[in-house]
Amino acid sequence: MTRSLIQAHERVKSLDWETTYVERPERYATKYHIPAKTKDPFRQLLRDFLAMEAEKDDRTYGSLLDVLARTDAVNKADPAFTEALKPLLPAARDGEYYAMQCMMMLSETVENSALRQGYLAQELDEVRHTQSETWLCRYYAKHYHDPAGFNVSARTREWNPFLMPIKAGLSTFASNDPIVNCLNLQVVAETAYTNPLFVAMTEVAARSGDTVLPSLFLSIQSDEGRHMANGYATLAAVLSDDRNLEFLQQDLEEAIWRQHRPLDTLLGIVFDYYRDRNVPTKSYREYWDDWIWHDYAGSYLGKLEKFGLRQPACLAQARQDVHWLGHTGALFLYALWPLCFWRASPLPEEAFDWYEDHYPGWYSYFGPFWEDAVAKADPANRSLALEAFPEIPPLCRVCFLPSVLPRVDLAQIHLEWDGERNHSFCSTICRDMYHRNPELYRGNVNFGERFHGWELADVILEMGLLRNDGRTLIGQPSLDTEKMWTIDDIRAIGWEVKYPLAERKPYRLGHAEVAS
Amino acid sequence: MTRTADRLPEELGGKADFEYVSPKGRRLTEYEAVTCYTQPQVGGGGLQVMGDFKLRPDGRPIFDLDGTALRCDDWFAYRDPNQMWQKPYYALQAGAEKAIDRTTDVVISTGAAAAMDPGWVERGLVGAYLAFAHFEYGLFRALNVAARESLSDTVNSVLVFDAADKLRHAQAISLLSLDLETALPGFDGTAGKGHWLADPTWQAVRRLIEEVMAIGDWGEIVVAANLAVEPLLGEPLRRLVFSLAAARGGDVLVPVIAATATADWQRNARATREFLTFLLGCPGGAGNEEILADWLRAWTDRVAPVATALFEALEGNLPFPGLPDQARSVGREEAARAGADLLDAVPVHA
Repeated sequence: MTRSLIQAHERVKSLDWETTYVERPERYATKYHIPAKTKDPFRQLLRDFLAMEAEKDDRTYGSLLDVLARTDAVNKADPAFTEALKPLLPAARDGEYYAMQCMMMLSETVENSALRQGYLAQELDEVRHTQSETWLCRYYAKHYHDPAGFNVSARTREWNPFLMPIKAGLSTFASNDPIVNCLNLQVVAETAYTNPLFVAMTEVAARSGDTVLPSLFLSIQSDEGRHMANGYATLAAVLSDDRNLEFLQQDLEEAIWRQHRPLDTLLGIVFDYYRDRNVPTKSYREYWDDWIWHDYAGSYLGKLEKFGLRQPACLAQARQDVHWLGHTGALFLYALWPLCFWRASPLPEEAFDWYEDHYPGWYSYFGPFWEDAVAKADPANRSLALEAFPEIPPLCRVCFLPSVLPRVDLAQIHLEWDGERNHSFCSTICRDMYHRNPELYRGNVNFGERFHGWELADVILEMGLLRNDGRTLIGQPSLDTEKMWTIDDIRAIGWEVKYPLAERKPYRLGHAEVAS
Repeated sequence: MTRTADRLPEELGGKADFEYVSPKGRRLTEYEAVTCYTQPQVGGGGLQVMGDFKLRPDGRPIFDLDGTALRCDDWFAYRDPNQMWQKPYYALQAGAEKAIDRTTDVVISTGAAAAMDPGWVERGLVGAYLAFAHFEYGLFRALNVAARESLSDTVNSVLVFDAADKLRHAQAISLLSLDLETALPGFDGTAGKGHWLADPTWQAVRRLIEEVMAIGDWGEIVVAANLAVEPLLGEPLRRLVFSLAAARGGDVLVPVIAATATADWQRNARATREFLTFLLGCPGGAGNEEILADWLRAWTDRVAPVATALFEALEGNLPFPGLPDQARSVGREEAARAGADLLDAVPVHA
């Protein structure tokens, strides 16, 4: 049938009605005032949506099941990159799932039929993304030469010190006022970060020889443009009422910070450390300047200044911190390899110049660690990179990242004792978010608190990180399958998890700013 | 770059499949693989062991074990008997919508639409079917909330698709209302909303749907929608009024659209029946039977007189002699399909 899309969309929007017999409960309260009528973010009927997505599915799943499976495409990629997908795919899936919850909350709360139609289409997108990314994880488990990690990731990721902060950041899509969820998801994560995640990541994948990941991620990215439109339409609706501005400025500031911290750490690591270094590409810092600083902050947010929305101050801090976040993150991540469910590989010395060229000063802070790491990758040497750390660094109560980011000597750690627990904060923003309602953060225990005093070998057993032979670790410090670490090697070293903040007494850190 | 590597032996590489999901059958199905343990839930069988990163502003966790009075030690053990996940769901519904679109095109282009009995068009199509779009939309809103608050991904996905089914049917009716404006001179496709909002025939139904939309407990939403409202009202309307009466009125289009929604309902009824079976037998769920029976009794008592009044009114309006009795019969059949017979509650719609 041929019909006017504008008319059809208007007709579909009229399905909404204002209930009069029964007052609807306020399930997800918002402090924001949203006008009942605004512009449509896009006109999407379920009929067209289903046809479009079914067609995309046919192409995506078809190519993966047919030619890419027959050509063993998974095993033609650089395994260093494929190993990174073991944590990356479950992390992305968490984001999609929380995003689906976010859409359900927005569509329940926002009494605006134009916006609601946009949220509903996105909700179904997020179902697609959650399940297709899980499907892809299984595809790698079926086809990759080392399925260990892909086949257990939903369980082993839970205590992983690297994935916890990422999951915590993504959970902000569903743990707040629905409009604040929207700011975190659509206005920041999807608008600023999905290009790096879904477009540029496919470039990194392709340059690493992986043709599988791009097949799915580009299909997902084709939905993301609509999600950004949803975010912008919601933001425009919020800005159309002057009463919202006072909340919006602070909430946007916090949303940017909450997404920047974990996502820039993650992306910095993946872009700068899990790529084929023989192929000349930009550093993550350069990408960040293009996508976040110029495109997002300058262009997208800049256009909103005429509505009274100031440029969030934290962006300047984020720009400084991006210089080092990924490097410190990569160092910690590598040191934590026994607790991971993927194989890492030490940085070869021939790569050092690239880092020093793109990040002047890199060698003096990170070079010696990586030089040492090569020798420590061999189990015969009975030495762990973790031994460089006598203690787990303080973990931020809000974002779960080490409070020593972006670099130990540049960190702005805030420590507090509340009479029962020590709290560490990586920044004034995280600290202030916590203080606005500390009760909301009582439900969690971080890695250090959970395992303080445990021997590393016992933590590995508790987290289920052994391969099926019952001895060999899933995580390894190199890709060498001839020299794989066993639980006996770890036991022989006897490294113990120490997290002094877990003790029931005030913790003091020499060089940190300590608030009591 | 074309590095390849030999596959590690299974004692090192492990199974070439997910090891963290216990399949219900002999082998892990695609549905189980892509659905199980995707919901980041603390407790109730969820794998998130470090607690909640941050609670919601009202102090509840993102996935609240107290969001329903129902109890289960492991919500993740539920399985959708339809094994539905996004790929087959989108393919199924894209096919349904394509069939509707083609049928609409043929019915309008051949003049069959213009041959419909004017009485059916006025009282059945506009007076009932277009109004019914809002019924479906209201249930969509209620089920969408149930999906948000539901525990475990396997329950969530059933409710997400159930809600989407309702939205799809509501939108299909809306599009039909627009398409018929081009085929039938003087046809006002917007009139259905007026019936929904003001026609006395529909006001008790609207009040009922608004009550379902306001239910706080997500488990109760499922019982109210799928064990009372749908069996006693929705499906008798689709099977009797929007199929038989429509056909008698020379309408070959509405029965096609309504049939796709009946197919959806039959799928959702199977999932609901399995939901009840699961809750009646799950560890930790000793009190579920009484709660479910109480809800079923209360909502059946609430819906039955509304259904009787609606079908009596339509019996005269359409006209459709014997409609109330036939609707009661269909209601019993559909309630049993969805699992009402598993509970020791009042006989359905006696």
